[in-house]
Amino acid sequence: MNTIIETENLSRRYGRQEAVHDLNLSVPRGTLCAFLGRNGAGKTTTIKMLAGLVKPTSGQARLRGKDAQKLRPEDWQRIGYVSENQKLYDWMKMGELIAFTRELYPQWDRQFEADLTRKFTLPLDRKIKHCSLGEQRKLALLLSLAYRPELLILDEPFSGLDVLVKDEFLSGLLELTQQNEWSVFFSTHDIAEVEKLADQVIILEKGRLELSESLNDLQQRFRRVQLFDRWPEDWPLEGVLDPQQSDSNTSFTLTRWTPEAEGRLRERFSSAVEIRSMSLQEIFLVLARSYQSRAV
Amino acid sequence: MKMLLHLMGKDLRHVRSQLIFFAICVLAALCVPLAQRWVDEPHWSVPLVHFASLLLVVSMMMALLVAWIHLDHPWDTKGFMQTRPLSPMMRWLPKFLCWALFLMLPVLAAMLLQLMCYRLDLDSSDYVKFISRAFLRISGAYGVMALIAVLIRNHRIAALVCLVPLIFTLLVLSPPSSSSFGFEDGDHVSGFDLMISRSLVAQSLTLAGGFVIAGMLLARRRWHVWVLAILGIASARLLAEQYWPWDLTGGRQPVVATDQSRVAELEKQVRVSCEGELSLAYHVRGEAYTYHTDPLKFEMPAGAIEWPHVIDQTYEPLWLGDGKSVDSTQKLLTGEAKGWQSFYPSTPLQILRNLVNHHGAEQAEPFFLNDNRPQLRVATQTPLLNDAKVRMAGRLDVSWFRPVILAELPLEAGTFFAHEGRSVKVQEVSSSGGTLYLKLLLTSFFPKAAHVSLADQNPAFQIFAAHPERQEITARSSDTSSRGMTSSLTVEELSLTAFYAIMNAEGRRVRVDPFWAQKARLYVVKRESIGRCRHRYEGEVTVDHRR
Repeated sequence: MNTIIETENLSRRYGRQEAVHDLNLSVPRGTLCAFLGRNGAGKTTTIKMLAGLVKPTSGQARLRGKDAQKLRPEDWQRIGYVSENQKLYDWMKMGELIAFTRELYPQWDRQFEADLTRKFTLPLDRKIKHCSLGEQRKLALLLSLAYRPELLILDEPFSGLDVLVKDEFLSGLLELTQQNEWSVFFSTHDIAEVEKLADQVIILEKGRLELSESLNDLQQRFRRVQLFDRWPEDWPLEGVLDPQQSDSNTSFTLTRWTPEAEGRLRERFSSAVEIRSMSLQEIFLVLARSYQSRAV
Repeated sequence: MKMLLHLMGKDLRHVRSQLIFFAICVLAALCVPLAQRWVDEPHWSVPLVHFASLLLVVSMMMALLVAWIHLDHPWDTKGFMQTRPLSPMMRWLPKFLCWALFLMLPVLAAMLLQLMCYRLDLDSSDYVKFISRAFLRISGAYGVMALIAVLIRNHRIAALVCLVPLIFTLLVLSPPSSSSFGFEDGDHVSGFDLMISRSLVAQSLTLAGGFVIAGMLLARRRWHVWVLAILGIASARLLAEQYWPWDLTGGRQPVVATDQSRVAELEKQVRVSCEGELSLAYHVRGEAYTYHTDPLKFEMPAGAIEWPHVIDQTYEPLWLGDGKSVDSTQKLLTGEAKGWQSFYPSTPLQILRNLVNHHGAEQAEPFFLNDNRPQLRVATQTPLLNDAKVRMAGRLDVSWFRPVILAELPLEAGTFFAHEGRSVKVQEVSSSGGTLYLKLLLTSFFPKAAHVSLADQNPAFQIFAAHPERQEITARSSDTSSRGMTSSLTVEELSLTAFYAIMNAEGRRVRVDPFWAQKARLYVVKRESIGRCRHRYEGEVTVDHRR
């Protein structure tokens, strides 16, 4: 069973609004998968369906090979879930909630819990409602990590966190997932951070799957091309996105870059061409603009 | 088990301050009537505190129930427990146990303790019935609240909507609202007017109390202010029970003296026949019934009983001297008994009637009611003796919700007994000029419990087939739905209680048990021959009314 998350024609409607449409995903075990999309793309709905919190209108989601709607307590002992607005028992102290949650998991790792507490610098004797958002988010992460789940599902884990906390959070997560054979599926708008973390990228647009690819492959095939010349009219436009042209300059994104394609460009434009690789954020922006213009 | 306790601990910790407050309310609700039991002249604030504590108990139960359900709402996709390794049963069982152990159990234990402290001479099955029925009623109301709390995820809106079953429960369990139930066309119109004005005030205050409770739940702060407000409303509601609205503004009207010559003579002959043959015949005079609410205080001089305090609701006596009464009697005799469904007897008057009957029923004059004011007078030609002991035996009332003790009752100060959910205490016994003066104090025993039976009142008690040509009324149950009804003496009281009283006077133990079977059933056990000779009479008690 090499697939940890799998969906099959997963759809969800809210009245006439289709939040997710025929989504077919496959996330291999041991992958850190970034789930990207603009606001309202259907990320949270999908994640809730994966966690069995929302029932799909049609289709099926499977976690660890089991129907997400029929997850049993023993399945939840191997799955961690943290969402942006997850409610913690804020009338408890941090230490109390950790102690309470500890009893729910037979495989809870006390040493790991202590390490995480130290790493996240959590004020254990403070009531949760009196803690900052970052502390609450880190606590939620601790409560989903300390029992060493095989799969961690995170819905917007970085939202609302300041840069420092985000960095702590991210480095902690990265360190942990490198140490352990964990699969992480997380949605975020913080694409710059994703780049440090993700192995695989999934992009959702208006409830439909637009892209599912490994980050390496994605960055491999996307290049930003700058021509210090006008675009020759006889040159084919296939695989080109986001073209921008001025009097003497042309820039565009090549979506199917290969050394051969680069060679052809350099041959045609000689020194008047500059080709560079793109960050995930740039790629996402180009794709998002293209989806937007397509919709228009 | 360990996990269960762990989860229960979490639920209890969540509401620990409210639970402490709830425990205080239960203790107050329990202790106040117990203290009242030992005090001759309870301060007026005692029932107030009792009522307020009951109100708070109910509202706190509601608040706790909603809080527990909303803590881990089953449909809350943001809930902490939703993605934890717990089965649905494990998620809800602790909450159910918390509700049962920490909310229902103390309340039921308090009820049981109160019952036992009042020394009710009941069978254990009566206790079981009483408690189980109370449990079903309360848990039914809270079942509705739980459903509302599940369906409405917003805490505040849920609390507001939960007020509906809460207020309904309060209304059902509170005496004043009883007046609107079971009132039929053809009943006494002026009494109806009085009743409406009275119950409107009381019910408005109940409603206001409900809104204040809602405010307390919604605000979730400054609890002491809200509690004070609830106490204030509770006191106003109790005042509304004590006085008529116009009493508060215009003062009391003078008591109208009764002209005894207007009181018609009434003779009744009760004939008990067995298998169609007349076996016994008795002759009684003087019966009357009213309905009242508590607290009530009255004095009973032997020559005339005055009822200076306001009673909640009065019904015209069945067979007294004014035209309506006679008409009513004729209605009954000619089979038009429908209008009599809501006729309730009065606890104190039943007791008095028994007193009077024991000391010579033939001499007792009928009770009657004044048309304008709910006054009641009775005259007896034979003064009661100062050292009289009244024997009241058997079980008069089959209602297990309103357990009745009719025990050996010495007529001396301090005698205490309970009847129909109310306690009666003989406060003073004195005599002057050959006349015995009795001062009885009636206080609330289970003030809300008593009313429940009235809410259940239905036409099931039209169990009489009238035979005008024979001037007889035959006891016969016609309605199987009377099973489980809790009424005390109803129309059949005309015959059954007369029969009962006489049999008691002869030293026999009579059990009237017409409500649990399809047929009215009477059986008489001779006291001296229990187990050897048992005569059972079924549905053949007849009554003759002669004027």
